[in-house]
Amino acid sequence: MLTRLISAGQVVLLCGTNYIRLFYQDRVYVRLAQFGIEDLPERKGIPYCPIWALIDVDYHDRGPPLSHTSNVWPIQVSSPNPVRWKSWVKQRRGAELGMPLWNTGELMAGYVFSLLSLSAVDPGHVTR
Amino acid sequence: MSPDRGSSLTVLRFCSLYLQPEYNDFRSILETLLLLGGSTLPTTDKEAIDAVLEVLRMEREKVKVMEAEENEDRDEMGDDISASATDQDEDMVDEAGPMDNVDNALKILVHNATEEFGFAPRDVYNGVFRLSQTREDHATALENFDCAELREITKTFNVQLGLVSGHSHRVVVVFPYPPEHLDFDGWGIDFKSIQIREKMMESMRLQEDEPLWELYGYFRRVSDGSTLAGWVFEAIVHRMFSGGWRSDSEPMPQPIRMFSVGSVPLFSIDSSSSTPDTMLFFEPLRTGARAATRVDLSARQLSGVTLADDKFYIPTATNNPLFDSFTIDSDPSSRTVVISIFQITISTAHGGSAKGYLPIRRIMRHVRGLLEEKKSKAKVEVVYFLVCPDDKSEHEWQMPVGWEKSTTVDDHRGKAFCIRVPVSGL
Repeated sequence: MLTRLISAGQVVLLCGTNYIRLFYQDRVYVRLAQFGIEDLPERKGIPYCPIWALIDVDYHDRGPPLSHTSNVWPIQVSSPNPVRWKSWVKQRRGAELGMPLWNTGELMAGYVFSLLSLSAVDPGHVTR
Repeated sequence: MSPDRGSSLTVLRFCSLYLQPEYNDFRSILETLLLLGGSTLPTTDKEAIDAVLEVLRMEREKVKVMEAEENEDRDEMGDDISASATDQDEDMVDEAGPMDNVDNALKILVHNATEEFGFAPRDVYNGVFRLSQTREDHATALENFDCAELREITKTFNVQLGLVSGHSHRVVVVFPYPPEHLDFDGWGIDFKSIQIREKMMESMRLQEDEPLWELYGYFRRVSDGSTLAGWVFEAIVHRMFSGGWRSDSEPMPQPIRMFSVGSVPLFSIDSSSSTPDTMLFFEPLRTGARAATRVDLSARQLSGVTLADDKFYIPTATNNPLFDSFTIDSDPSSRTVVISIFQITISTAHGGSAKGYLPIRRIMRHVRGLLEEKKSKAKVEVVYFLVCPDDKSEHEWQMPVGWEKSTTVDDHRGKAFCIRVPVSGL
């Protein structure tokens, strides 16, 4: 997903256990995870322009620390257990997608995709 | 822009196995060993690599047996090449090619890891780069895992969509499946890999009937457990067919002939097909016991398979898509030996793969050999049995493509019957 969004010129936040990385205009900005994901750069003249936030952290029963003011569009990977994501999914009317098991071809070669399929990405976020 | 250039720009491939930190070192060690090995793979001192080489040795052996079988098919049939086993074959290993090529060896190792540990990427890559350790971890998880724990996991998942047991992620996997009766998708639970399932099935077959029926009933009631219900039902049926019919309250189920449509037959029965068939000279399910006997259908010799009718064979080849077990019965008066092929399912429709015909012809060839040793001229026939619960009245069995191929010498085609096992008392 990260590669896919960067390839489409999107601003992406990658939230790991220890660090949060911001992929913005060919650079990566790093901050400690404990500082959270507030105070992100805003797009001039556009009041609501959330940044993709890829969240791959086990927050156990608390869910990720997303507040009302977090200017992000979260994509969280998680087990199906709702305690891990319900804190923000209901509030932001998020979709729940069940991923199928990997197959042998994907395990060998990973994910194969076409850039043409990125038309769904919001062109307003393309930075280059 | 040329079309070629266009396609290279629009398609990106991200290589998962190749992106693992251990990949380069592991590949170069493997490559060196394969180059040194020639026709015989060497042994080394390193436990992990030795385990990997053992997997490759066994795969090489399996391929040799398979090739020998296919060659025999060809020899016996002249130009009618045995295509049935490969017609629908999408297996990575069969496409892998020579094993001394390191890329092919890696494909085999990934395939092996999926059979041992399932399809979770972390387990698969550990199963390639750290095979011995991954085996140990899974063996520990399975050591004390029993039906009660399986039920507890399903119950917890059904209530809160969570897995609680520390070992559960080594034994089961959850996956989304499309809705059957509801408007929304659901989650299902299954054993994580073929080999883990085999181990659990083996332990289930050693259980008593009552807790197994209770477990089956529970899995049928909860939507997440319907796949597991199928495996428990298979274990129950295997116990029933090998231990003999024991119920005093229910009459022993009788085989009912299935109708057939098409040159590659679709066998079916409906609610009107209730008359037991009297065409068979033997009882596939009987009161007497048959000794449960494991058979490796990919071994060079099917040495445990005899003409005696007191054995119930359960293949150890863990991924047979067409059948679950078989028996052999002889009728001296009609000079016929029947190989009964059992498919056990709780679904109303069952398919299968053409790959399943090859082991059936292997069994036929083996039986023919046994008859020749005895100077017997008896003919060998195959009869198919679909064994299913009696809570549904319609059942279908679509035979896979390849039904009419490779039948000149060992004709695997035969009649089909349905045996409905009573579950309505649950």
